[in-house]
Amino acid sequence: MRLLQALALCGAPLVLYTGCVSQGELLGPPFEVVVLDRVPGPADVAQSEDSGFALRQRELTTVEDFDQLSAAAFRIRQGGTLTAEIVNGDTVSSGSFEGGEAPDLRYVVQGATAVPRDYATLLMFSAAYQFEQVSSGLRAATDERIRAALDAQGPLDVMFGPALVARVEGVRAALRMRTNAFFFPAGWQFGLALSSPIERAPLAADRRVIAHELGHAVFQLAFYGGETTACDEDAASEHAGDAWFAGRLEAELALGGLNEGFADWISFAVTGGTDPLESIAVPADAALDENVAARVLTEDTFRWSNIVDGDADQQSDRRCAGKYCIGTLFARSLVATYRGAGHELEDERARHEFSGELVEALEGAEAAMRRGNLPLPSQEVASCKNRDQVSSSADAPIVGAFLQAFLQGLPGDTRGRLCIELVDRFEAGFPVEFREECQP
Amino acid sequence: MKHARSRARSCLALAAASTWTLALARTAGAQQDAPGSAASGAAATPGISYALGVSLGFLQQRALGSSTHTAFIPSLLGLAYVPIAPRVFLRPGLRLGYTGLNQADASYGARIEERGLQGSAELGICYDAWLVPALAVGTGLEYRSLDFVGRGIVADSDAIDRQEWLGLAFVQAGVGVPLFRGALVVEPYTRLQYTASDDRSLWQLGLDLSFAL
Repeated sequence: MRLLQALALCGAPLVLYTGCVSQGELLGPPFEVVVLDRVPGPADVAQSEDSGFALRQRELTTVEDFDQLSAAAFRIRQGGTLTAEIVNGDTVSSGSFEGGEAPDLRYVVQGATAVPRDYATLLMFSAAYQFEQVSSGLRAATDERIRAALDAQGPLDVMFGPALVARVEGVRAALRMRTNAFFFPAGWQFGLALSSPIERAPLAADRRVIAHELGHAVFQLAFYGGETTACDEDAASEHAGDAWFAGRLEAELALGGLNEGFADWISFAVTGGTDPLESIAVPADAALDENVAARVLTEDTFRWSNIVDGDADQQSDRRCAGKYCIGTLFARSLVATYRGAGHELEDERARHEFSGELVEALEGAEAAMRRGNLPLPSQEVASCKNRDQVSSSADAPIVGAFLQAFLQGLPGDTRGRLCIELVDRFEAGFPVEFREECQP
Repeated sequence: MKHARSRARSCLALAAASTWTLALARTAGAQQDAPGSAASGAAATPGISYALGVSLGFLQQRALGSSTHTAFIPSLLGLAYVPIAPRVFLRPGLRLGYTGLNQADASYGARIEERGLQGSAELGICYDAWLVPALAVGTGLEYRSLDFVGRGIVADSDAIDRQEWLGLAFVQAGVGVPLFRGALVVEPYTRLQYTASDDRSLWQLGLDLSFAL
């Protein structure tokens, strides 16, 4: 390679004569960079510099090592291999991560600003900026204990383009994630897979997506106490008679859905955005009777009866499928409660304060569930099997147990308002026997 | 003769002057006397001969993280064959290629499109036998344009658009297969390329198709 470098320099006189590409010296911190960022205005009327996403000159204020794009709260990495054993939506519940390298940044310095020279560098600059923004907002939208826990975890590794491998019963296979961003709690790692044409804007540049994924980190710390357990399928027979077997909650579809909903709430609380998936073109689902805006938190387009996978003869007007629908019902109830308290969507301080209450309630929810009456696991859950569709019989008791426990941790006025919203949306998915906190 | 000439076309090369042109190769094509071949042996009268052709290159580049992108690089190709010993030829050559016909994976709304024109000169050495193994080194320049493209919810912008000149160098090994009595030589090759201030390049695989003049 040295010979090749020397030979490349044979062309250097001409290159130098015509304008050599010199990376230049970047001064900082703070570091000035060109990033892709959200700009005010509705994204759907973009094509102008005033709305949607646009290139902007921004300042990286917390990055200490520019070549590594590392700060106290995060560290950008490239590559590596994520071996996933259990994947719940965009959360890798069990697995391992190996490898990963420092970012390979290609940029030029123009007037003290680093200007990216390729797509990968643009994404990494943009992600670093968005993580700076979201990290501070995330701390403001939680409480003292979670802030301390986040700080204690150290920098979050942000992995760009890791190779994804699934390991099921000892067999390894290359994996393509359905979503392009994911959170890996065990490694305290955030993954951004390769860009794809369904991204209306790169996910790395969308703070709503990043805040959503970090919302999983908050759920992990607040609800699970920072530790999750993988379900052991070899112990299925023992699980069947134990409502609190290790890894049970992590294996429940309903809890996964509520986790997604809470992450959507955090995305809203941190960014003010009410559509966490705005930058993804979600394809229509032909199996639904009606395709609706399934993740817009200010809409009210379906109820529990529109999402359960009931008997085909009984089911009509199905508008949403899968655990994310449970999450949307939960997140919409939270946003409706927030607005019902007289807060504006744009009021960042109110969002943060309200979110702090919710996080506090979430911290005590698991303990409150243990004090309650959690039904025995279904055969599927006892066997650690995944299910895609929402089941009224299997999921409603879990949803009910969680909501009851969550409500116990809220202040009285918030609890009352949220009860009304939850009962309205969840219908039979919030069984009456779990509505004690909703009694006047 | 044509057969022998063509079979001598894969070669080992050393950096050549960047002022060589394809026009030179064409005009010199009148010199039809071929170098020695396996058939004619060392007794044949050596002389410089020429060939023109196209090259289809597939350059592996590092992309985001652990992924790679394969850039398709079609090129025009001019080669000269200079006998230096029985069955052994120096092979200076010129290439003019275009990059950018295919772009790396990106989001729908935002991408950076890279397009470039590559000119390179090479010097190789090849051995004339039934197959023609060749080894070459080369150097050149690439004129590259970077264009940010925004669509849909992403505003288009020229904030990071730029043009740049990049030096490049490579070593290349190939094996020529003479066809049609040597009128056409098909030479699959592999190349290790270094581009100044762009360390994404990995291996390039390709196919040279050259016609005797």
